[in-house]
Amino acid sequence: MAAKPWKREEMGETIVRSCAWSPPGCHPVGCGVQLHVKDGKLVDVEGDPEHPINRGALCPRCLAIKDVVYHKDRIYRPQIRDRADRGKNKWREISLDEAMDLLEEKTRYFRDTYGPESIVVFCGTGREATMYHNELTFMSFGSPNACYAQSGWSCYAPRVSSVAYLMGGGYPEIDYAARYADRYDHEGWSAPNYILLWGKEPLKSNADGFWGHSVVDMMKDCDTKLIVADPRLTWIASKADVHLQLRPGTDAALALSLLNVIINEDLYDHDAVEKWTYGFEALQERVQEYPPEKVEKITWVPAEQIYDAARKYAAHPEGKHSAIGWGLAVDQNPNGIQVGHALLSLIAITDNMDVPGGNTLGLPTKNDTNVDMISRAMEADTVSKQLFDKRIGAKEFPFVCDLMSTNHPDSVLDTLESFEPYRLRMGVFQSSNVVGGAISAAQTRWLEAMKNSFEFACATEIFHNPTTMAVCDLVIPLKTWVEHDTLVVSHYSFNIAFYGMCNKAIDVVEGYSDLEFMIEVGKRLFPEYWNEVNTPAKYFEKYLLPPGETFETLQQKHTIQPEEIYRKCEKGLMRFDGGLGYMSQTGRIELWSHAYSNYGDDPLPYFVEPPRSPISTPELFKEYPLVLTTGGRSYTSFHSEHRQIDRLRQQVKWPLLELHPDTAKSLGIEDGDWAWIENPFGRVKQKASLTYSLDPRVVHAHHGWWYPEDDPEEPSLYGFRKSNINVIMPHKAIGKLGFGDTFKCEICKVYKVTDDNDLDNHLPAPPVLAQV
Amino acid sequence: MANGLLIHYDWCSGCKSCEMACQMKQDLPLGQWGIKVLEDGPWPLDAKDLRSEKFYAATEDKKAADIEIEGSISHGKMHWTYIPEPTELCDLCGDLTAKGEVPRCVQTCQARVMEYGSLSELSSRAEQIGRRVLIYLP
Ligand code: SF4
Ligand code: SF4
Ligand code: SF4
Repeated sequence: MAAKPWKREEMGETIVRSCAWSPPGCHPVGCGVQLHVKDGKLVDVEGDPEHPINRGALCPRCLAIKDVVYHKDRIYRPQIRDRADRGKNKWREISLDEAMDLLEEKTRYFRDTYGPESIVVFCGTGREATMYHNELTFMSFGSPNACYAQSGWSCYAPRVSSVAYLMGGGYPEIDYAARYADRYDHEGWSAPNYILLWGKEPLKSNADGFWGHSVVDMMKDCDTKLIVADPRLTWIASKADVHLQLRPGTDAALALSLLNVIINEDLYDHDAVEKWTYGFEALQERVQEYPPEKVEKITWVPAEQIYDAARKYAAHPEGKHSAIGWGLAVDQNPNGIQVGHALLSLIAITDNMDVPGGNTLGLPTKNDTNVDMISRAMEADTVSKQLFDKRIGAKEFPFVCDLMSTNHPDSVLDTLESFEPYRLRMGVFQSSNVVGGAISAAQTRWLEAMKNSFEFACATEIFHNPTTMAVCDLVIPLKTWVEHDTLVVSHYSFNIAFYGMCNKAIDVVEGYSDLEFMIEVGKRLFPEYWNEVNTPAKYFEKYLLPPGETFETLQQKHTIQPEEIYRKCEKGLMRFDGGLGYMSQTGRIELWSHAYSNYGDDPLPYFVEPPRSPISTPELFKEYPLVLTTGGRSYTSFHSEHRQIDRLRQQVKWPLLELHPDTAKSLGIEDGDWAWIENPFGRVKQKASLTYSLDPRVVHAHHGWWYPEDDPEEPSLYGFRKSNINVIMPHKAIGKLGFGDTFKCEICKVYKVTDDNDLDNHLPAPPVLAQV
Repeated sequence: MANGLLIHYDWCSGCKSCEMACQMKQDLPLGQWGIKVLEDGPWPLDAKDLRSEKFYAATEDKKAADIEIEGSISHGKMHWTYIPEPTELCDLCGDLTAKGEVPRCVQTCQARVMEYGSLSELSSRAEQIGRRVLIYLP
C-alpha cells in the first residue's frame, strides 16, 4: 500500500501528517502524528501508523497537544512590561513588528555601547531551539556568549565530547533497526543479544531521539535481553536479567569493574582491540585497581552480579552483538567523562561498535552546529576572533568550550554575580526557564544575579514561567510544533535514524518558530549573511538535508532514512580524509586518550567519589544521611514543561520524592505526606511516594517543578522555590575539565512537613484539578 | 459474536497513552476515562525485600540519621505490573472500527500490547501468547 500523502481531505477534515518535536518539548524523536484540522482548528491528534519509528504509538504529551495549543495561558501576542514592573504580572500586548523593532533597537544599543559580548543568549534542553542556539547567538545577535545554563553543561555534551575526543565523532546508539523501512523484519539485521541500559530510562525520556519503547519491542519480539545499571528499579529494569543497583555517582567504578572482568577473563575481542583501539595494555593495567570484590564495597553492587553482567554483555552467542544505551547519569556526574570513557571502552573491546545489534554509529558531521559554528561565524565576520576570546569561561574550561562553542555555564553565573570580567547587560532566553526550570543549579542565585545584571531581557516562549516573570521585559510568542514547518533530525544529527518533516497544520499565534526567530533577527542585524538563507526551507537545504533533497522532496517523502552501513571504520567512512579507522590522533578508539592527557586529565578512566557522599564526607553524611539522586522523568512532562496542562497533571499531579518504605517508616513518613528534602544548600518539599524501587539508603526527587496555578508574581514566581529540587543543587560542583554536576549524586536529609516547620506556609496552592 | 480488547499486560509499560488517547478522542472531561491503567508493584516476590532484613538489622529502633549499612544489598525479583482496564465509557471505538480502523488505544499503545477483535480471534491469540494476557468485553 502506498503511503498516504502528507496532507489529505477526509470527511470534511484536513489531515496533516507530521513529525513532532517542539515546543512544547521533546527530544528530536520526530514521532509520526496525524493532525486533524477542521475550519482552521486542530480537532484531533492521533499517531501515524505509517511512520517507520513510532508506527502509530504516541506519548500522553503529544496526545494532549491540543490542550497546549489553545491553553488559556498561552502567549498569543508579543508582550512588554516596564522594567520597574519586573516580577509583576503587568504585561501589555504589542504587535510582532513593534516587538522586533524594540529587540533590534536594544541589541544595537548594547552592542554599540558595551560590545556584543554584553549580550548572552540562553537555550534550554532538547527542544528544536538547541539546533540553532550557537548560530542564533553568533550570526543573529553577533555575540560570542551562548549559554546552556545547566551546571557543568551536563546533558548530552559530555557524552558527545567523549566520543569526539576519543574517536572523532559519531554518536553510539543502541541498534534499533531505525534506518530500515521494515525495521526489525529487515533481512540481515540481528537484534541485540543484551541491551545494557546505563543510567537511562528511555521509555520515559526518549532521550536524544531514541524512541524508548523500541527496547520493549526488541525484548518482546526479538529475544533481546536486558541488563540495567541504575540506582532505581525502573519498570523496564524489573524485566532485566541483571539489575546493577549501584550507589548514585559510583558509575565509573562499576564500569571499570566490568572491564576488569572482561579483560581478566579474556572475554574481549582480540581482533577488534588490535585493529581499532589504542592503549589496551595501559587500560588492562588500570582496571586491575577495580576487582569486583573491591568495587562491591564502593558501589553496593554484589560482586557476583558484576561478574554476571560482564560475562553476559561480552558474550556473542551465534555471532550476536550487544548494545549499550548510555544516559544522562553519565553526564550528571563530576566523574562522568571517565564513565563515558569506560563505556566506550567496553563497546570497543567487545567488538560491539558499529555492528548489527550492537551500537550503531553516526557518520562524523561536517558543518556541525557546535564544533564548526565558531569558524563559520568568523568566516561570515559576525563575531571576530577577539570577541570569541571573550567567551565567558572558555579559557578556564577549554575541554568544554573548544567543542561546544558556548561559554561555560557556571562561569556565566559567576560573571552575572561579579560583573567580572565584564557585565552581561542583555539576556535572551530561547525556550529556557533558567529560574524554576530543570537544568540550572542554585536557581535563586541565578534569579538575583540576572535581575541585577540585565538591563534588558527578552524571551521566546509558549507560556510564561518563573524566568519570564522575574526578569524579562519583552516576550515573543513561539509557535508549537503543529504551527510551523521544520525538519526533525533525530539525535541532533549525531546519529541520524531519519530526517522527518514537521508540517504546519494551523495558525494560532502572532509569533515565530525558533528557526524563524533566528532568521528574522539575523536579517535585521546581519543581512549580508541571512539574505541568502532567508527562509527555513533554504536553511534546511543549505545546512541540514542530505545532498539532492529539497524541502519539497522531504515533504513528499515525509521521512528519509539514511542507509545503514556497519563497520564504517573499515570502509574509510569515519574520517573526512577517507582513511581507515577513526579521527582521533592515533586513528583508533583511544582507550588511553591523548586528548584527555593534553587537556590535563588522566588519559585513562578512573573513579572518584562524588564531592559529598557517605565516603567522601562521612561527617557531613551523619547530618545528611541519605544519598539523593534526582531528575527521573515522567511520561507527562518534558522536564519543567507541561505543568499547566491539567490533563497531564491528572496523571502526575505533584513532584514525588521516592523512598523505600522502611526508610519512610524510620522517618515517620507515610505515602502521600509532604516531605522536606534538605541539604547544605537549602530545602524543598515534595510528596512522599513509598516504593521498593530504591535502596533504603537512597532517595529520588523529581526535577523542574513549578506551579503555574500558583501566584506568578514575586516573591512566589509560580512557587518554584517550594518544590524545585534544582533550587538546592549546588553551583559549580563540576568535574576537573568542566563537565558534570551532582544532580544525580548528592546527599540530603528528609523529614515530614508539619505546620510548625512550614511557617512561611508556602505549601502549594489548592489543587486546580477539582475533578481528580 | 462479541468484540473486545486483548491486552498482553506482561509488557504493558504503564505509559498511560491509552488513557490519554481515549480521553482525548472521546473528549471526556478530566477525571473520566474510557480506559484506566492500574498499577501493582513494585513489591518483592521473595517473602521479604532482601534489603529490608539488613536495613532492619541495622536500624532496629534508630532513626534514619543513625542508619549505618555498609556494602552491597540487592533486591530479589520484583513484581511490577500494570493492568489497563476499559471502563463503562469504552465503546470500543465503534466509529473507527466501522471505517476499518483499529480502536484509538490499540493504535496508540506504546508497548504494542493491545489488540482488537472478536472473542474467538482474541482467544486464539491469547492461547498463542500463552501467559499474562487479558481479554476484555467492555
Ligand atoms: S516521544 Fe512522545 S512526546 Fe516525543 S515526539 Fe514522540 S510521542 Fe511526542
Ligand atoms: S477501544 Fe476506544 S473507547 Fe475503548 S478504551 Fe480504547 S480508545 Fe477508549
Ligand atoms: S498504552 Fe499500552 S503500554 Fe501504555 S499503559 Fe496503555 S496498554 Fe500499557
